[in-house]
Amino acid sequence: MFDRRLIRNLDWLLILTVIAIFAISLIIITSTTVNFTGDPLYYAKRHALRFGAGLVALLFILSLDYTYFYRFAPYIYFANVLLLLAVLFVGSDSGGAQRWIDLKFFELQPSEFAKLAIIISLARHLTDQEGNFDSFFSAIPFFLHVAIPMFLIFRQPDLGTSIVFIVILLGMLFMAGIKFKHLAAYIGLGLAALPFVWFRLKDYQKMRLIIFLDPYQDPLNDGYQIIQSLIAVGSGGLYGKGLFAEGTQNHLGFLLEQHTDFIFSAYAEETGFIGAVILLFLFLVLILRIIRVAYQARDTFGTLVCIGIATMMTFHVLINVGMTIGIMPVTGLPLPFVSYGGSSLLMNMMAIGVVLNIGMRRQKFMF
Amino acid sequence: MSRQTISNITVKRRLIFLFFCMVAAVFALILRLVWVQLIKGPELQERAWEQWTRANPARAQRGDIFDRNGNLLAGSASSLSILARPRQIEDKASVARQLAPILAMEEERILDLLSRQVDSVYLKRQLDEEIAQEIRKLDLEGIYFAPEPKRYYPHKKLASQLLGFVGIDEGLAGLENQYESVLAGQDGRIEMQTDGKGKKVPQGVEKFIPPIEGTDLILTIDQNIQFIMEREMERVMLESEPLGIYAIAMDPQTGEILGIAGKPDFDPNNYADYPPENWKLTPITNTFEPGSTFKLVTLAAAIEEGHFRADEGFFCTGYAKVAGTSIGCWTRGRGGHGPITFTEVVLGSCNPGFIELGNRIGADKLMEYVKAFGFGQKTGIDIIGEGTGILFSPQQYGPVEAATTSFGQGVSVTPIQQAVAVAAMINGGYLLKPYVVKEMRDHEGNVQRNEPHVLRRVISAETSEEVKRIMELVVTDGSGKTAYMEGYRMGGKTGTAQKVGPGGRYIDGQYILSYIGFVPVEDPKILLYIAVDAPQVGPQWGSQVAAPMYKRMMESILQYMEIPPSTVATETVPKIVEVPNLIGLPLDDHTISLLEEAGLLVRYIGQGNEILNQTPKGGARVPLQTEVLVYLGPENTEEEIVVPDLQGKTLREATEILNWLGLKINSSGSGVIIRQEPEPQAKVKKDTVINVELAVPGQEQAEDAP
Repeated sequence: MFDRRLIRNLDWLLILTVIAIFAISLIIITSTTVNFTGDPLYYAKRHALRFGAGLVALLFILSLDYTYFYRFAPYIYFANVLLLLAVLFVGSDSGGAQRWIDLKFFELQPSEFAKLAIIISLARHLTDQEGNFDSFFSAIPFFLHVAIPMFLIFRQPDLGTSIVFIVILLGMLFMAGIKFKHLAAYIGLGLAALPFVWFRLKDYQKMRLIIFLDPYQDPLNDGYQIIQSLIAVGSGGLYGKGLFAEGTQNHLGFLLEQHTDFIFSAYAEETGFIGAVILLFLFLVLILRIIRVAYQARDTFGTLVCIGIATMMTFHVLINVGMTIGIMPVTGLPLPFVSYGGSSLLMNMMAIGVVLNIGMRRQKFMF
Repeated sequence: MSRQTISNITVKRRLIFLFFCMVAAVFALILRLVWVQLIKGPELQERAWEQWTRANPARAQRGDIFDRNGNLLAGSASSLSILARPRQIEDKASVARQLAPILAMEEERILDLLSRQVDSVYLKRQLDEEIAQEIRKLDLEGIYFAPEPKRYYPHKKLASQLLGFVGIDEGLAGLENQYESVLAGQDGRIEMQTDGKGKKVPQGVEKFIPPIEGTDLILTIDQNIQFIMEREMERVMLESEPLGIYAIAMDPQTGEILGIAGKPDFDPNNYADYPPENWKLTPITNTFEPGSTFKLVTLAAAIEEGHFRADEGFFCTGYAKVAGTSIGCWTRGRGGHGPITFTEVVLGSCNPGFIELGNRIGADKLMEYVKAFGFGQKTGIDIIGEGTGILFSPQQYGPVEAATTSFGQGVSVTPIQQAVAVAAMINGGYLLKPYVVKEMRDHEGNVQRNEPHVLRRVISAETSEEVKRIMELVVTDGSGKTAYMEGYRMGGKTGTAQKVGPGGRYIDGQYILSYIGFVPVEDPKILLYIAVDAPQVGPQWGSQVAAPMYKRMMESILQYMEIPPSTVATETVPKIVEVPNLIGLPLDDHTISLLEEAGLLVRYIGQGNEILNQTPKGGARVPLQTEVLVYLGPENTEEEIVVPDLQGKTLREATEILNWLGLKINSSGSGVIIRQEPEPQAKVKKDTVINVELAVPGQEQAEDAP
């Protein structure tokens, strides 16, 4: 199925990095969920199973030449929009938001897959318009391209993921060669529009932004998570309290969502500064390798897809970790590969598959 | 699909730029982690521990209070308080149902406490151990016991006003309140780990932070002296029904208070059963006009200034004219003391004589001495709430005021001020700061000791000797005779001051009767001051009420302190005196003073303003300090007769008294009367038979518990 040269071109370091991050994830998910159910490994097993499913998806993606993605980009885009529409109509509720489609064996979260779908379709869109970015208004079609799925996600509501789309768009536009001053102008206009967005926000979303600025304004309710997370991370000190240690913010139940959004708090508490830096360093390697693939890619489409994925991953790490240490608002973005959650893990594995695919097929072959 | 349209240079530059942005983002996170984990780490660690643990209090053992010989005056017994942590209790209704009968509380009340949105709540404080045991057996989740010492006072009322008392958490009155921070120690706690919902973690760490025990107080008080004083005070409270009694015993050489009490007082074990007025230490808080005891100030000043010559003559007409105002002597009713010496002025407590002395000293100088002896200011005793008293202000202070000051009228002073002033007169002239706390001993055995403190020297040693000599004469030859004790050389002075009412006017018939004295003259070991506030029964005369009480106290104290009688021959006091004839005289100051001068005590029988009879009769020769029974009339025509107290009387005396009152007697046994029926003060009809039981003294069983 694979040419030996293709396998030789596979970025093994990238794969090892992902496996290392996943290994850390498996340990910390076990530690955080050990008391959740009768089976102390219940969550860890499910997490590993999903990783296995992710590997299958990754291998499947590798088996296709990524030019297929280019070709099918419009279908991917519209299929994704349909899924997002479906969420709004038949999605299941959880915590005031409607984000999931219950597939009985799997809680599908289309907004996760939307990220990858948008990256691929936008890459094709940009590639097709390559060289036509001199005008200030030339970017408008791309904004519209992203605006439709973004609006649907914003309605779920999921502010964090919506913002991910803007960041991905900006990163890819930049990489596609748009002028610096135009990019700056877009950002300026976006900031000017913020007050309008503010009034469209739900109260809890506003509260999250307010308490981000001052968590002690409401230390028992909305500020609680931020304060408890800071205490958890801070009390880890240099070496941490040890994995599965007794008497942690994590085990005593002061941390909430300690296996999903706030998993980094539990991790930093138990492994300390050293563990935290190791994990961040692994992410840095991951991003670096993706950018390396972007550089080596044989075409603009490949470069743009890689940049979109690198931007997405960096932004998730920045927002998620930043949130646990009080420098970013609470938005509910998962930490790639680490947070417990099937859709996110599967999508990230597929994204890595796409990157590996592009890297593997960097040379042109004669068939 | 070629990449030629974007130049390779641009791609490279933009990739590198994006790469640096991403690296910067990750490094920003690492920098922030440095701050949160490495720099703020220890502080956040502390906060984490704080919020994980809930502490049950472990109260410190409160310091004990001992007398100077190590006898316990206030101690702490262990008891337990029961507290609940509502969040740890699942079935609140069931817990309330189980606890209600054991705690003797209403079920709804417990349920209400358990339903509070609090971390912990006391269900009941200071339980008995048996009750705690019963609750332990139930093994209820979320119910805890906290050891909590309970204060107790083994001698109940003894020194209650001085000691004060402790509420559940802190000292509320007296030394208990004043030394709260010292006695209380520092509470410890039992910490346990809890989770985010306040529930106890099953295998959580428990930490015991032991309490720091309170510091013990060792007082200058001598428990036995205090007991003797209070015993006699209680006795007079019953016999004479005064509004109050004050007593202070101190070591005149050091200022140490050996005993101090006011009556009525309270039992600190059940302080709430008594009115709050009883809680304060009246001998230091209350002020009143001192009367004749204050004359000692004038005497000491006159000696010091060289204006007192013992043998110099003085003529008392019964009055003194000062700036056009006539001021009377208490002897004015019989034309004054007549020609006497200045020594006799003191012995007879002659007001015009003291006005003359004050006049010689000079008004301003006299006021200087009054202040030098500590009047008009706090003595500085280590007890809070001390009164200052009132002296004439410079604006008010004219010749008349100087004259009344010289014999103790128009000023108000506290008992402690008088005791301290007289101590200075007899200890060589040193004004001392009185104190009650001798030592503070903390849980590690560190001792902080209070030492005697001389505030200033007021008079010379020679003057002090002279004051002592004259005060001794007052006891042997003067108005203090009724407190004379054979074998001891002692000094003393009586005082009888009319009470001042709220409007500043004297209240008719209401007196404060006082006595101050010391033993032995050659080296004063103990100074005793007592004052009886407005006795409602019996004579209103210092020598008749205060002096006998003083004598009884002092006798017991000397015996206890093992102070031997003086070996030096004392002034011989006639042991046999002649009883004056009082029949037909009105009941007034003059009449009673006849008895006082003879050194006799008086007891009224019946009511009225005229003396109808007396026992023993006039001219009889009796021992000093014999009680003369004075029958008052006109005879009570009312049906009701008040039964007299016959305790200690012989059968002959009792028969005579009862005959006089129109009652019959029926006796059994021999000796003196130890029991009677009906009780004293009972109201009976004429010719009622009073049953008395006699016993030989020394053989009757002591009923009073020591």
